[in-house]
Amino acid sequence: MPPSIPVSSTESGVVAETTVLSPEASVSAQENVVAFETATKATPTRWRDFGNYLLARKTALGGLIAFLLIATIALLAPLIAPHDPLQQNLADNFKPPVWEEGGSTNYLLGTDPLGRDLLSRLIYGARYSLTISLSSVLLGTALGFAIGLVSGYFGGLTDTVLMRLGDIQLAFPFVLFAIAVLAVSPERTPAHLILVLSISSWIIYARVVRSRVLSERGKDYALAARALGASRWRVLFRYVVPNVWQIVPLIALLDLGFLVIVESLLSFISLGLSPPTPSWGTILADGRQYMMITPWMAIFPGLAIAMTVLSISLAADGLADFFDPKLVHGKFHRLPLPGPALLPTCEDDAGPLLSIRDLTTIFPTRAGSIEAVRNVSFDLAPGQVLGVVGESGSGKSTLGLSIIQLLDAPGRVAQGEIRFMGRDLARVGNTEMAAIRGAKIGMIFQDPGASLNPVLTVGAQLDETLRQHRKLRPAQARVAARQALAAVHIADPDRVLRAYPFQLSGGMQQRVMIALALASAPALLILDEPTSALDVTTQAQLLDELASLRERLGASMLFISHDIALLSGIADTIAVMYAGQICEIGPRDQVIDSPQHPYTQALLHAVERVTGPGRSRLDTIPGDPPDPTQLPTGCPFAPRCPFSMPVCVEINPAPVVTAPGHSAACHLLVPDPVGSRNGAREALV
Amino acid sequence: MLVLVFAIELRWFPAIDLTGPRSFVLPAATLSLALMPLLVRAVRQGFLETLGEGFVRAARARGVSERRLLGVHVMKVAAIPLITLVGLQAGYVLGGAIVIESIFNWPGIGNLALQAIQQRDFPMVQGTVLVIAIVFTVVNFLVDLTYAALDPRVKY
Repeated sequence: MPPSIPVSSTESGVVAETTVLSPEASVSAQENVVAFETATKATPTRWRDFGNYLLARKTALGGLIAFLLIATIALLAPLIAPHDPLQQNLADNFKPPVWEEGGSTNYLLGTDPLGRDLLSRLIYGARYSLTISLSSVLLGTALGFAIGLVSGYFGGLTDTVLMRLGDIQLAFPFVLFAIAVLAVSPERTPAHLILVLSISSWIIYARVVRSRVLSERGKDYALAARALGASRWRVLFRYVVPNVWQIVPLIALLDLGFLVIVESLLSFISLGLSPPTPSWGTILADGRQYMMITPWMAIFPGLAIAMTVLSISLAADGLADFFDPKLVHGKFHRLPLPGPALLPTCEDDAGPLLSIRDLTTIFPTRAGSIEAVRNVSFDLAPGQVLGVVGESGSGKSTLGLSIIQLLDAPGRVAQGEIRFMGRDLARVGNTEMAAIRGAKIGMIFQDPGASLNPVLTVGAQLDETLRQHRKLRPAQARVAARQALAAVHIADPDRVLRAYPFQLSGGMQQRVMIALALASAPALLILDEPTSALDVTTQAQLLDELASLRERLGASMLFISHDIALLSGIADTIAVMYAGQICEIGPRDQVIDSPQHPYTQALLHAVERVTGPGRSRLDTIPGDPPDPTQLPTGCPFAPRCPFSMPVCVEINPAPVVTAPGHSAACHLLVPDPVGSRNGAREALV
Repeated sequence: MLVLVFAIELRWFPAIDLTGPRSFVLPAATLSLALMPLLVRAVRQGFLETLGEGFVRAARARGVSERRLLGVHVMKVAAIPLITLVGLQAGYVLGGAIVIESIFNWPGIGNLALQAIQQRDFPMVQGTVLVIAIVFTVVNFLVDLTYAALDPRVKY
């Protein structure tokens, strides 16, 4: 696969000279701009996605169709309506609907006190109601969008003035405002209502758009475009607007339903359209006066409003989930593989603690399923540390989450075995897995700030975890919590126990996380880049901490990192992951000193050039990791590999054992590349 | 707000005027039902968003039970923005009260404002607007205080 983002070195060199950004930063910034531009161009597929999505969600589709139907009726009112909505016929007043006694086919839904046809009035009413709401929404959207953009992008005094104005308006009950404006105007035309309604709704859009602009403005691609010399307006319209507008139709749709109701409300307190113009609100208000005599006069407009609002809400619900798909998958959902979870017991202590065979984890998507982890196998002995290294997207974090069975939906283990303490974790039930989590396997995540509940004190979270696993009484738990913090060398446990996570430094937070994970003395600890979010000094301290803890507790660790130099300091065994596969695994010294796989060699080479002499230029591996949706049939590293051979593109190499406990998946290691598949099979067994 | 429409259909069951505690039921029910959909939506969104947070996964990883996770961890975090929403809804409630009072024919401040406007009695309009604005401000002040009590990150 060719690299998808072409960035020539001369171009980035020019950037480095003309901007304050460091050379590396500007290269990545420019990549961001390019990546962003390619992303926004993919609109046609997005529309097709949207179509497919709608088809899959029947309620949203139904809502949309119902709403379009109502809109069509409103549009074709003069053609459909059987009567003139304003034509009075006093001889025919108070006619009931056709199916009741005294009704006539001439007036399907009956007539009002002035003998006007209710059906015709409703059809024309749809016209007025929808025109008013739609125009108000459009006007309010335009106004709010513009104000939000300006306010968010230019900030400063403009922002302050506009937003305070909005605050004042929010603090003022809308109905009062409407009353004040509408009550003084002698005649209330649709234009009056549109004005009042749109003025009352702009602030919602302005706020949402503003906050979006604020976050987009600070993102790398926007900053980079500014740094590259684009004007403020160009950045605003070329980069910020395309990322911001998507939220607007959704709010507009919700607002539309709301305004349909507000229109009827205003009519209700006799502030709607001046008679005799029909809108659903005015018809409803008329009907209310004759509730006892002619109930149908209120029921039908009520139904019309209810149906319209319902259809709009359904459509908006669907839209919301489309624009914010992560909300759909908010629920945690785990489906164990079928089959027996209890493994045939061979209770010898010498066996590995964790033994993974052929593990494949997939994320089914609309575009096909992504294999984030592919056919991974390894063993982890008790008390050992396995370091897993790889670029972002290589599947190392997914591997960790697969073991503890906390994959984000829709990800799931598709095949393979995760043998741990006599169980196959891919197959145990949800209740049993919940009991294993925390008690037998602990996990520490990359960002300690996000991993602690911000509104609970450290003490509360420790207490809860300790009592969950050890069944302690409150007083005992407090003592145990203090001990747990002292064990990770927190000098002032009592203060930390009372503190909220945000009051602690990153290093302290991560110590707390470690204390939490160790609260139940798990046999296996999974560490997913535990030090990446910390500064270098804290990193070093924490690594020392972990090393000493490991000696004291004898727990096995699966240490995930993108930093092979860091792993070489703590791991006994190192596994190198690339595109979801383990391309090389072996004892630390062997992997570091005599790497067998070209990718490992390249990784180490990059590190050496930084730490070694003559650090003139940062050495990187050319190209990008493959697109996980389109993995090549051959070796995934082949396109970037300096030693690539024809066979590499065709056949994905199987692991080859090069020394005891050391294997690598590369065709180079097989003397006869064509026959390599057979040789590799034997090597695996 | 949707329910306001249905309130009319319900209207002929109970008494319209203010005639004792029982007459509170329908107007209050109408108004609260009208606010419900928006809140239900916001609660759903808030919970789903919070469930996607890192600390939820971290809590699961250390074996916190699902019930405790929802009832304590997610609830406390998701409740905070909801409180703000409730405060802002006070505005809708006050506005809605005007309509409700007019429907149920209550001698409340909303009805008073409405009649004052219809009779062009501007001092009275100003007075009612002032009272309503004060109520709204006080409610939102209380909301801010609640906020500080719930969210340790906010201090005054």
